[in-house]
Amino acid sequence: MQIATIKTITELNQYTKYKILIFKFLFISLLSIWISGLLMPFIIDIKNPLLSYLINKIYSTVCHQENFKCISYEGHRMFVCARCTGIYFGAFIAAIVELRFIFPELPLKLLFLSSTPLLLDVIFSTTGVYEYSQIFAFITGIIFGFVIYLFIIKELENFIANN
Amino acid sequence: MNNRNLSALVCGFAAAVLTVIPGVESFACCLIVPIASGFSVALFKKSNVELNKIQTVTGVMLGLLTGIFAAVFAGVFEIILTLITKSNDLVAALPQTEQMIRNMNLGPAAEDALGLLRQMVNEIESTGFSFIYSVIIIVTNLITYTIFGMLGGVIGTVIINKRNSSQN
Repeated sequence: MQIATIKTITELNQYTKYKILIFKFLFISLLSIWISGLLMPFIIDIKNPLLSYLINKIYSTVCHQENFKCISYEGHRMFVCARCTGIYFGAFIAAIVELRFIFPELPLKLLFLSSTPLLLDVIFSTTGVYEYSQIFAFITGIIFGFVIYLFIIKELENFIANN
Repeated sequence: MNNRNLSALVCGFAAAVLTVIPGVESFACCLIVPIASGFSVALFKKSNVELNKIQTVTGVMLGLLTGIFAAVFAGVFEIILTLITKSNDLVAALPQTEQMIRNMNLGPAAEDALGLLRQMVNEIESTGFSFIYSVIIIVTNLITYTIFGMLGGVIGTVIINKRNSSQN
């Protein structure tokens, strides 16, 4: 079986580079929409209860939304927990940083290393070793989200480059 | 049923079961469906030993299928649970929402929307089933689970391909 060789970013032609760039902007736009949705309670006052219910329902499918785990400000609660917020913010930060810097092919070890703090925090806070902390959850989420985004975008970048 | 559909079906069903178990949802949060998609890719690889490398498209498709199966099963589970208990999160949250609307005096548009919510709650409390609620559940599940499933599929592909290349 012939395995396609993966081209590095410097070997790509201008057209492919543009294709990758457009794809990245599309990805960032979708990520921005998702993040602005979860930030909505802080940005605007949703006056329509049905709309508020629908948005909440969308985010409830991907987060438990336990009250004490969600970041809140002046009585407004985010639609997802601190850990999920961290993951999405981490991915967003990575998306912005990735536009400026070219990251090398990442080793798989990094993915496991980045998920370790998150997993340990989940295990320790659930088993009662220490009390749940929104800050801890947020930070471990950011680390994980940052790395996971880089893995996803690298794979999709390689796919675009080789097709 | 081919290997791809079968692995997606198995993992999608497992993810759907996990989403209705309260403790598990709190533990795995937004990672249930992506992890299920990753497992789906792993299962696919196991059943196709001759494959050297899993294509990204295959990973994405497996993730998409896992997401669709998870969305449908999770929706069906929730509808069945609502049918049995004649209650759900909407029924529980409505009194609080009504109080908030009254306090904030949001006007006729908010009252109309509240009317629709009230109608859904009445149907659920009397028969255990609301068509609009069921559609909302299935559609919201489909939107999020398919996206998260595809992302999980990509990650699963990366992990499996990198592990394969390091073993070879």
